[in-house]
Amino acid sequence: MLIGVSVVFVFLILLVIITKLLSYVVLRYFPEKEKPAARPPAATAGKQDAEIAAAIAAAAAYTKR
Amino acid sequence: MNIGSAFQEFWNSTGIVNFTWGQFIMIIVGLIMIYLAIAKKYEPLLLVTIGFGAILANIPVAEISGPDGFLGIFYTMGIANGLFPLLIFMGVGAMTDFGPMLANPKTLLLGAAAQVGIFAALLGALVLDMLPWISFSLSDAASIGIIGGADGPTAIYVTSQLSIHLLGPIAVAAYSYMSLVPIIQPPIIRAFTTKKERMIKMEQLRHVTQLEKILFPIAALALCIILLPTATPLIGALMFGNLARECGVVERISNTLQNALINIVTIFLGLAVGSRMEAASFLSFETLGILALGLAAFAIGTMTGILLAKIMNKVSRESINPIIGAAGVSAVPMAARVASKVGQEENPQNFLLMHAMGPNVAGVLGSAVAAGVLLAVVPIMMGG
Repeated sequence: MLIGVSVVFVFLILLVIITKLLSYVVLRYFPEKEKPAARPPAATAGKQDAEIAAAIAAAAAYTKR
Repeated sequence: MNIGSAFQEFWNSTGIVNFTWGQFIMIIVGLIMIYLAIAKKYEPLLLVTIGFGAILANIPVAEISGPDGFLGIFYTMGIANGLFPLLIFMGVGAMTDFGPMLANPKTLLLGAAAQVGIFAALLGALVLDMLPWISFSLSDAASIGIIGGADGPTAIYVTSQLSIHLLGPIAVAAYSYMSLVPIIQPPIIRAFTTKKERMIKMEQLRHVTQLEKILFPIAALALCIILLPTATPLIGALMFGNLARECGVVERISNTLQNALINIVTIFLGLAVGSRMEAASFLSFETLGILALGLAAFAIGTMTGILLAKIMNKVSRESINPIIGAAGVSAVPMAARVASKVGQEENPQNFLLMHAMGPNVAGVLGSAVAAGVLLAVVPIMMGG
């Protein structure tokens, strides 16, 4: 039982170390450059929605007449 | 041949004449499983299929679970050789987001702590073996212990390799306890934590980049290849599925793994597991022992997960809510949901779900590693 538990622990402790190392290397040398790109689409989506709403309102007003 | 004897022959081949009491009881058990799945929504995907498999397997005369019956064919096709659990694991890999774990790698340790239940139940099975009316070999004990991993496919895989004759009861115990997580865990969590600890808030997890997520499955598999090759069937299948998910260029494979493939295999696996619930092998003292040990393994795993989380909370700089330790017994994502629910009962502003997903997916790795250890050690000890 002790062997089993300790092997599981050793394995996962090594995995923790490897994972930390991996994250460190990745974040240090290959940082993601996506933050600025993420904003604009949201803004245009809102603008589009507004345009569509305006078009619907215009169409509704037109058909009512 | 006169009409009378022809009628007699027909009568002798009906279900009524050929029923044994055991078969009748097992059909009732199958119906109860289906009832629990439909009315209580306990793991319906598995309980409906296993329950129906159990009914089919206990029909007299038809021999559906015999070597030539269709359930028997499913069984030799993918359970006896351990194929189906591995296919399921690919799907699990494709459905798993290791992100929360990568953001906070310490939580991997909680996934290890919760596996103590496996080895405690193993010892328990060897103790029960001393009783005159129960007999468990070491490999039986190992297969029973793995129920504590709270991971159905892993339990079936290990049992198929070590002691196939116990497959029915072990699979049923594993899946029933997984579905009972919301009932079993909260009292244990409350017993081992104080109100103040349960109210601890945790910092928000950092963003994990795609490159990290792509490299992790490869790194984890590499470690497994070096240290524990016996765990590579399970870990390899899991990491293949996960890489397909994260790499972003094989969307179709990833979708198939997490939907079509896992569903098809679940049908085959459930029915074939149900077919092992034949009265002759299922209605025994061993089954009772397995059910009791499985529950103990689960409870101990939950407890050790919480205790380690408490220690980590004391030692580490940032605070760790001990509740998330309970999620270390895989049972994805049920255990994480339970942890988050218990946390919110104390403090409605506390959102632990993502924090609990870390130990939760670590638990899947932990039980696969524990399975690898058992598969490596037990055959040697049995031989020597």
